[in-house]
Amino acid sequence: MNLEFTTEELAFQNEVRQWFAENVPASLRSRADNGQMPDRDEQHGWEQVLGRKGWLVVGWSAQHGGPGWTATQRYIFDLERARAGAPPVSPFGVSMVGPVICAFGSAEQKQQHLPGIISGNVHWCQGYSEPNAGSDLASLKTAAVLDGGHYVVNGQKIWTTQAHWADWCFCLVRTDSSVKQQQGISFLLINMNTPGIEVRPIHSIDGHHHLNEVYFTDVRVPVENLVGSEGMGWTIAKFLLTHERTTIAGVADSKREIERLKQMLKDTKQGNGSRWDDPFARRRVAELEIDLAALEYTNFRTVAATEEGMGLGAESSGLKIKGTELQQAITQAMVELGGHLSLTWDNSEPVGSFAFNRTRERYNFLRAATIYGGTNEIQKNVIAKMLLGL
Amino acid sequence: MDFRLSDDQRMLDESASKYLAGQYSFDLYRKQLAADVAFDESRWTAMAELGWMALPFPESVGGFGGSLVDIQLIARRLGEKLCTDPWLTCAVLPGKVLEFAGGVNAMQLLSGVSAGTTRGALAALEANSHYDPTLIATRVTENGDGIRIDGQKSVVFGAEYAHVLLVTACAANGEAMLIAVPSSAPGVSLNHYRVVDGSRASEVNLNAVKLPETAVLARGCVAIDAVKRAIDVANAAICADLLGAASTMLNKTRDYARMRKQFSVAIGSFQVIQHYLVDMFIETQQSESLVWMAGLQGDTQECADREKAISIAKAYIARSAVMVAQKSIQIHGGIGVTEELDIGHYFRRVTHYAQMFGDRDHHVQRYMAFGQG
Repeated sequence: MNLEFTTEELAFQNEVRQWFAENVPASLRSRADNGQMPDRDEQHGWEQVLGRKGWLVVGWSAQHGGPGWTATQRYIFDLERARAGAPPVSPFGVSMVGPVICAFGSAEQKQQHLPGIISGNVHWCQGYSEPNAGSDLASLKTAAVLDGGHYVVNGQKIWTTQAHWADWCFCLVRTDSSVKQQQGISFLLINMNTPGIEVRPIHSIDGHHHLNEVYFTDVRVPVENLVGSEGMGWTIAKFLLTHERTTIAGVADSKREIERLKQMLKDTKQGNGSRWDDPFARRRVAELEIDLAALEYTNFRTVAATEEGMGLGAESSGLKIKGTELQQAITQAMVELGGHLSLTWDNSEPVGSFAFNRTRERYNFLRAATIYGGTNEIQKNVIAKMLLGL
Repeated sequence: MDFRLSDDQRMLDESASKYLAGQYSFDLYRKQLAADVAFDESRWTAMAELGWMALPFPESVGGFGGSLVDIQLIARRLGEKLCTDPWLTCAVLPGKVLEFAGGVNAMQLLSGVSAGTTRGALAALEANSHYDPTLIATRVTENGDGIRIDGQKSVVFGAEYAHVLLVTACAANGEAMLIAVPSSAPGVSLNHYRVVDGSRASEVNLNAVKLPETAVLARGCVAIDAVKRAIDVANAAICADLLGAASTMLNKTRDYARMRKQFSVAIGSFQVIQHYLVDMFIETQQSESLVWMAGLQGDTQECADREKAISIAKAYIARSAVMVAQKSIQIHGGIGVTEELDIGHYFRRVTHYAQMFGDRDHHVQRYMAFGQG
């Protein structure tokens, strides 16, 4: 066993660190310093910067237009990205539909869609959940009925993150209701400009608009936009659950956030000293750091197993559970350790510490982390079944 | 032992519940939120007519001489309804500061608070004080014909609606003073903003504020003790508010779990959901026990007993209510994190009240100073 990065990996880390130092825009850094998420232009602009460098689709093989990095390189890259105050890239194109098209798409689909994802010029959203199909995703009802050269899509999706920013949506639709639920689902690519699509905002408790409802009324989608064959949707969705999971634990961002919290405590005065002098605050941070270490080394072991070519299965569920729990614990500690400074909502001038004043945004937003991407309860069911044989 | 409410308390509780059901709603709360408002003159008058302003204060100033438990009964109902009317911050808290400070001028102000005609706000904490009201950087200087105050008070709840600010300031010799500062006094400027529970707070800037000597209500230990004791009263009420919010979340989440179907059955049939709800139920039960303990044991002038009782309750309930609030969102799933549903708003209220005037860490620390013998 060996826990050190190799000389080559260290050189790679230096190169990446240098590049981030020179290329992350000041506006993104300043948002990150206050725990705030980028707006649409900042997010897209940043993804395009990465795209021009060829560092947007870092999980892709060289054959499909990625840098062809090892899992360790991807981990180092993510670490340096977060450290530099850059946001994670939107996963829908890069980590979700892109790999699906690489694995299951036709030559035409690859030609049409991959360049826009690689460059960061085309933005995607994910049409999975429905009002009555959340944890029970396979019960989804949005129907796609073949009519000549088109599917006619009717139904409703919900919790569609960034649908209001997206050019395209990859959707799970029901093409056959006469077979077992999972077998009647297909994977369809839908242009968001198609007539009959209506996007309605859902405002979340952090005070922002990330989520949407998407309504489909007689939306005509060319049959060429079906990925794989009819009925393959569930297989593709399951493929996605185990693909490129080395960053699912969110280690890089949690690491950065803990460092940020320490700095906030040091920067905030309490009497003649600082909040960092409070032994209770120090202990709270120490506990977060210990939990981070456990997650980080579990993630290392996963990365190492991926390097050896072992496919990742239900183990990724454990990373998701512990990773999201840690994200929530960090944001809760941030809110609580700020005391009354964390209770301000919309002050334009800082009250003591603007970073503490804004902690409630991420705390509120990340309550969804144990819900989205499959609730932590569903993840535990997966582990019970797949790893423990229960 | 007797945990039953008296007939008077039952009537008070029922009238509070009935009043809020008729005059306050989630729709109204959201409308006010959108309009950056957390106060309504006619509701304030109605609450005064119900006797809520007079309830906490001595009969000598026109009050009803109510107990700490009486205050908690109203606070619990306010928590149940997400009510942001500043009864606690503009009446109970400043009124109690005045009552404990004593003296002719304080009593005169208190009779106005008790009548509902004067609203106050306690301006004790500062940006660098964390929860400690003895860390005072605001300066007061005395000269022949009066005093002058310079400094800034932070996150002053209810200041936007207050006629008089009860400001703590420190003299050059280190002596603390409690000073009644009219909101309209020259040199006082306020920056208002929304806070997490949807109510309002302000930064209070005091720039060469000149007042007569009579504005000083109390000095030294008397001033600090009045503030600390009033904050303990507020914390007893906050515990009851948290209980009201948490038990409402528990009930709403239980109902949702029975109604929401996935995999063709109610999600409440899954054992993991049942156990979550049972944990929430047990925590709420234990919280209620400590609310009444704090109301009874905290209603005393004896500092160590009072601080111990209040800190046990706040330390415990702050954690329990936050747990109930977090699990309520988790069980609701996506809909729980939306502005549309009340659950997320209760979550924010619990976040707010769990931290207002001391979070769990603060009260565990205070317990360590007083409670361990």
